[in-house]
Amino acid sequence: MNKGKKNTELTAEEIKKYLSGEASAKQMHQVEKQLLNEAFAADAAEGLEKLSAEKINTSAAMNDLKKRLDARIKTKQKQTKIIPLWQRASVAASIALFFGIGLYFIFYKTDNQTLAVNKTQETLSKTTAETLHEETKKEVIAINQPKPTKAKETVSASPQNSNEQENASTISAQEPQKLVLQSNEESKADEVLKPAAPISSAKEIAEPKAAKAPVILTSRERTPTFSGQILDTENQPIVGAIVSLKNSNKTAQTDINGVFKINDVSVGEVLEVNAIGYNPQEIVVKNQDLGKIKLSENSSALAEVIVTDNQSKAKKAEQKTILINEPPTQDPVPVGGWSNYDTYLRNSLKSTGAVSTLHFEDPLRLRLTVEPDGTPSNVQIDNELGKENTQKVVEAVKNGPKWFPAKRKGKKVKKEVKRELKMK
Amino acid sequence: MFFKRFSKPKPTTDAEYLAAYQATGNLELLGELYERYMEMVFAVCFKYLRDEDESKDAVMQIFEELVVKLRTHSVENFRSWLHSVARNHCLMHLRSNRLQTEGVDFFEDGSVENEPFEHQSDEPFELEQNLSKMTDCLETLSDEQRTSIRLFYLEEKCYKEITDLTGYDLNKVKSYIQNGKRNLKICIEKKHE
Repeated sequence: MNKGKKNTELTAEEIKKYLSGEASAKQMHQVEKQLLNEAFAADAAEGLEKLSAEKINTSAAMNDLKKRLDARIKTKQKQTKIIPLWQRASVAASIALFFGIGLYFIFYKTDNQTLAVNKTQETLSKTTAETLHEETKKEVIAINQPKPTKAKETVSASPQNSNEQENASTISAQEPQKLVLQSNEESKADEVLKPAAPISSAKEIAEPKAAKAPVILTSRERTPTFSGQILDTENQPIVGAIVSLKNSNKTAQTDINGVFKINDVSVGEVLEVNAIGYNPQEIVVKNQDLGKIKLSENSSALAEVIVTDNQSKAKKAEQKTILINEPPTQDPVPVGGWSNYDTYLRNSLKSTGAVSTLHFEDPLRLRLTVEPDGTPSNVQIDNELGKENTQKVVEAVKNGPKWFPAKRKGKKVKKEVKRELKMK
Repeated sequence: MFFKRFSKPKPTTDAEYLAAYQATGNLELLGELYERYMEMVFAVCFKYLRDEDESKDAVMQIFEELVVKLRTHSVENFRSWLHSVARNHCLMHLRSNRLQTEGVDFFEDGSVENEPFEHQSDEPFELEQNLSKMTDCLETLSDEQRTSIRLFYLEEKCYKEITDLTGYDLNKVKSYIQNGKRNLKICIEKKHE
């Protein structure tokens, strides 16, 4: 059937060659046979014959047609290019994923990140301590040359101490105002003159528990670990509070008992204590035991805590402490927090139909006074709801949660609260 | 589209081109395929339309038909299908223009509807293989047809040679062979029944 197959493949070129009479008799016979077998070729042959009879240049016509075809393919291709659904979906999904991961890191990874920073910080300080160690050793020996025996004592008693001395002196140069102690140059003289100082710190290392009693440090050396406990106003430990050395990135975090430990801090430096839901506090390092540090609750941060942090059990416990404990801040806060209060009010107003006349985009503008005993009084609505409905709102507020009253200088005082509540 | 272009080898046969176009809708593929037959289509159009520019336009319009039809139609023999499409397009064009071109009388005999599908068979009628058995049928042909058929199919002469040998007119030889072939086919098909 090869011949049969070949019949279907007669091209315009072959036909043209046949028509021109350049083909041999045998070739002509082949073409004729194919023309008989295929109507397409026969029709085309007729057309080509007529074209050549009218002396029309087919190759010029073909060039023109090829250009038109190309142009047609390119223009329409752009217009009708269909992006398959899965491609659009995948683009949308990847954008969503991107934002999702971003939000995840912003809201949930904060703790881990600080932890990670802590760790790298620790390792960094260790390595620098080791490298510095050798140099300082020599230096101390060199300085103490006039009294070689004392120098040896210093070095052997606490090589780490001598290293820390160096650290302290550099830091002290940076923040002279924070230091109780003298400047860098003086200190070196100090060391030479008062070799007793390192010995005292060596004692501290030997009996760290004995150091609980206030030890007055006469030189600027650092003791290895400072510790303290972070508590709230109810003496409950604050878990996960971050203690950081001011103007550096050295940080520590409190454990489940609210206890933190921080290394390589010198007396006179300032520590910052931050905890979610509490006002930040600064403390000046006085001795190794930093004692109990109390943080006051930050009412404005409460809502945020409730919304974002419900991850760990520890956090939940923290939330409860926050909500149960009375915030000592200036403005009145509803017991249970604002968002719970809003929800209560919204639900009770909706169920009584008090806000049925309110346009759903308008917030309910509420004013009330919180008495020192925590009861709301003088409830007023700035919206025009009608007498009956206004009364319903007033009752809902009065029967609602109690309030932590406003405080001024620690005293409970009466204060007016304004609140705009969206009903949506 | 980008990946498909790389994951699949470039089509070579008509069927591969058709499958690839049907799968992707890529006009470049269809364009490549169409270019193979464009001159033939042009010639066919010229045969009917007798005008160069009109034929060119027809070539482009036929391409538009393919763009739509080949997305959904499965075509087994593209060549003969394309011929049908081209032919029908030209005949419809002529009909809509109410043009009476010289020597074309297909409107009267209803060829527009019937003829396009006349040559659809994939296997052309193989006269040579049947000829020896068909002596009976050969006898039914006229002398001119029989002579021309014998010379053409058995002695493999071309039209020109047959003209020289027999003294018949070239166009007459053509029609003798065409008609003789058709008559033989009908005769053989009758005998098979």
